[in-house]
Amino acid sequence: MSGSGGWTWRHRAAPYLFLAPSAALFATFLAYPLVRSAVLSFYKSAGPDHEVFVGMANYAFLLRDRYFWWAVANTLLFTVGFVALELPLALGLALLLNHRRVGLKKFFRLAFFSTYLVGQVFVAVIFALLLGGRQGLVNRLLMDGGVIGEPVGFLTDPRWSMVSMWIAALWLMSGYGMIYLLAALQGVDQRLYEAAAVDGASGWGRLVHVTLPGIRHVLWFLVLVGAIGGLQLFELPYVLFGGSGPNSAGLTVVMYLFITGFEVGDLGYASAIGWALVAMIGVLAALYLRSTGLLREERR
Amino acid sequence: MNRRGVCSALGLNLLVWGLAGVAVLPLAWMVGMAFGGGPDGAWSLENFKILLKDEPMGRWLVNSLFVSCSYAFLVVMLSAMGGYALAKYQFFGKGLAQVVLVGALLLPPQVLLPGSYELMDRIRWIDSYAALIVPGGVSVFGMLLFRQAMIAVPDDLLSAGRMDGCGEFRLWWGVAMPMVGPMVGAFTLMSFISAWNAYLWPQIILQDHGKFTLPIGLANLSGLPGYQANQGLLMAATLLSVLPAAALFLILQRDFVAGLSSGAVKG
Amino acid sequence: MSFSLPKPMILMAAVAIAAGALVMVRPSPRTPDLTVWTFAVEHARMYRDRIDGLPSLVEQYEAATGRRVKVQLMSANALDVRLLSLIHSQSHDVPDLVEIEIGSIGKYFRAPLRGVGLLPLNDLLREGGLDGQIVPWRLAPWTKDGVIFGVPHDVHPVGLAYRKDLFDEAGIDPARAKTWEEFQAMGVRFQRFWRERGIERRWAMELPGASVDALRMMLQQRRIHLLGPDNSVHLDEAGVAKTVVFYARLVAGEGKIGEDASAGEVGFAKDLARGELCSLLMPDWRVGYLREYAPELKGKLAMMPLPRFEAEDAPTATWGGTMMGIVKNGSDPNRAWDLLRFLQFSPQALKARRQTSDILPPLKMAWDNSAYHRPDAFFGGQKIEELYVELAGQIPPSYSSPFAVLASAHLSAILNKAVREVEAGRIEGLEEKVKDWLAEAAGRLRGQIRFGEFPS
Repeated sequence: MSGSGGWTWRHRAAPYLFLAPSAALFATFLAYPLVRSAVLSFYKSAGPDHEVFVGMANYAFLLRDRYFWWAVANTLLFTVGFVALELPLALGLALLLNHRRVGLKKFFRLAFFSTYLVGQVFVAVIFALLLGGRQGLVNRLLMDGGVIGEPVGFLTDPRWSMVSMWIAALWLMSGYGMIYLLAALQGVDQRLYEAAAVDGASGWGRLVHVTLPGIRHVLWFLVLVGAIGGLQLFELPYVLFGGSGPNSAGLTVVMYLFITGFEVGDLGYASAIGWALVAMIGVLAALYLRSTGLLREERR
Repeated sequence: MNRRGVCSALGLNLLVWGLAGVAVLPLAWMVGMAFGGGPDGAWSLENFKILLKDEPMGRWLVNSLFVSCSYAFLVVMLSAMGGYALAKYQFFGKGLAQVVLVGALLLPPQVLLPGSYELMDRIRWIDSYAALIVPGGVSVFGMLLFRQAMIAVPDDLLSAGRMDGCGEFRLWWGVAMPMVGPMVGAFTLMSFISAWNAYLWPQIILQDHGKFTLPIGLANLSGLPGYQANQGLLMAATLLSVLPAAALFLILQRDFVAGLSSGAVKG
Repeated sequence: MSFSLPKPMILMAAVAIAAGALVMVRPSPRTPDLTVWTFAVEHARMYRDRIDGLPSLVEQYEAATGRRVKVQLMSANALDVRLLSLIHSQSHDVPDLVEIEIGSIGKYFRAPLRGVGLLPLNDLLREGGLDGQIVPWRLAPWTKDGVIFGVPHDVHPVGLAYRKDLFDEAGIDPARAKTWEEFQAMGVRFQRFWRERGIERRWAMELPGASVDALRMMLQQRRIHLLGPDNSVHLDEAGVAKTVVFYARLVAGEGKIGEDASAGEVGFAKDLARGELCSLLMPDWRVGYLREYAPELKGKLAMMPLPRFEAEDAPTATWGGTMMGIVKNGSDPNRAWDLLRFLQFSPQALKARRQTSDILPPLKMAWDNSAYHRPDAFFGGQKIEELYVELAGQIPPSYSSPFAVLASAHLSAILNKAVREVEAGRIEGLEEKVKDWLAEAAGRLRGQIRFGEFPS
């Protein structure tokens, strides 16, 4: 773009002006805290006014802190299970709503998506009542239906904690995935289906050979979003169990960070936990970029 | 249509109805509980009356509206400006800026908590709304989103505008922004919802009971025995907390869907 | 060229301005002279509720001094996060008096003494002559390195309450159980009686299968503390393994008599009322919940001291506890102390407490009041407060520590493993296994404490 006349310098300066407010906020509220968090991770602290330099001690302890690894295991288990359950569910919903013989599409789209508008805290409050209690709604329905004889301790039995978290999270998130997949499905080239029909492909064949490849970018996107969200899980179990849950079965990495930094008051160790989370997400992102080949496309 | 087709269509529709039932059941239950509590199980507003009398729910609602709307306005504004600059200008440092942005996109915000908390403490922003609105005002995700959407704005149009003597700001505002209308709607909704539902940061920042936002207030109520025992009361509070977000979605839902398919997920 | 805002942004701006205006102009409530934070409904009620139309405790104080007092009720989690954040940021915009729960106080004690953020009360207590009157063990949990940071609100002795009607029907008198083993046998018989009559969901006792509250009380009866006052670790002490195994066999396997209560703080009341869980560990603070949330239980209950393991064990334990302390950065510590004394120890306060709650005060001399020696219709005419007074004199010690949470987590993990073993029928040699687990956990906990202790 070559300028002529009066607007050249303005044209030159404009992008900087447009970016200036963001850059200022970025530097103050993102870059600075980030650096501070990095520095803090080498300190032991009891609030901002009691800090002692400890070198690598926080990281060294992190490596053998069973509580931390327990939180990591919980978080990973939640994430893997959540993504593995959410995708098929969301895809199933999207396929159903995309089916030409299903009526009232707009209404259903709204119905399924409506759950996403309920924030994690509110979902947790609702599900604490639905799942909690020997006479909670879910237990009552299951007992009346003869599925179980004794009430299940969804919130009190550590073996059920993860299931409870999955149930609440799936209810919250499936509609979100569905909306994206629905948009993607409508973008798949119809001629491909026609060609497949000519080749005599079955419904399953069409799904595997036309639909899935056609929406694979969105599927990968949802895997990434789901995984990152899963690794950052906090509010849902924290409010659902009123803490870390029975036998800490609901303890997640971010919850451990929160408890360490803001309940125990050790901002230093909390920072180290935060950087461990950064590493986890970094590994995930690297895997993602490799498996989707996005880097290669970018270079091309 | 043959008989088998009719059957499968019926089956599919029944399946959708069933699934929708499961999805909506908790919400319906919430509404039922919230309006229950009348004599003989009749519908009543009793729970809402008690709630508004005993708790500063009205205050929390106004607080939440103020914080979420201010935040959404700020973040959409800044993201659209930044995204426009990245999409439509060549300038020194652009490459670096984009690499930093993509890197920051993957940064979990929680790692910032200790440093941010310390910063808020230093600049005396603990217990202030500024701490909830301003630091999040720069959204890496939003900038990239708008960058993607604004690439589609034709350069010729902008050049023509410049010929006519339009200022750069006016070009952004008058030419580019109207062309990404659905994205504005979609991102406004997303930003509003995320501020509306935010818990971790406000929980650390807000101290004064009267300044709470709804998630903080509600999580507080749900920890009190009186509310645990009276589920109708708690559900009435939850319903009040969820409604505004739902209302905004209804207003913006067309933009939202269009915005999603227009640029967010091209891969 | 149009120059209008996109509609969604107009909407956001309009609502933000309108709500912002409301936030600005709404009358902020008159700032009180003294603010009190509490997390317990029952305490808030005692301070601020009117009884029979007479002025509440707070109103009496306001009338006498002309100072305005605000009592703020919030959930325990919220209170801790806020108060710790205020202390850490050395804010001066703090409440004057705060109530802190016994499970939380450790968080405040992690900092070195000068960083605790609460006012040392040793001198004030001595000057007021209060230190000799308070039940001795109840100051210990609020003390760090000899410095007292809080005044106890309670004693919280624990008895065992049971559905007398249902046990009578089954022809069983639990009060005759002197040991936990005898009680377990009775519980098994009780459940069998009702199973034979077609009632499947009826358990003898509320006992959490995963959390260690009840197990900790049993250990306390035996005067075993996971952590001593100096953070010494006693997880591997003799007797712990035995108690863990015994407890696991109370909640799993053939001798199972205990089940989890419904979630939440008051879930137990409904479970008891429905006859699903027929006895519970009953500290005095739970009585109020029963009266309020399960009034239908009136006349159906009775209470007894806790069964023991061995004769020298205490017939009671303590569960929960609250202190009231003064925030160091508060506006005026002397005024705060004046209010604290009024709310906790004045004759008016003791009267309000008797009228609004079943919680026994920590002052021994107050126990002679006839109100604590009356028959209680809710418990079928039994003098339960008298029983609490009797138990309160025998409470075993308890301490608090920043690492109590970690110690409980270790114990909880081991209890869970033990429960799984019992469920799988692998009871042979379980005690030895538990001993090994405890020894390993104790070592780990010592390492965690070494790492976590803040150098003073």
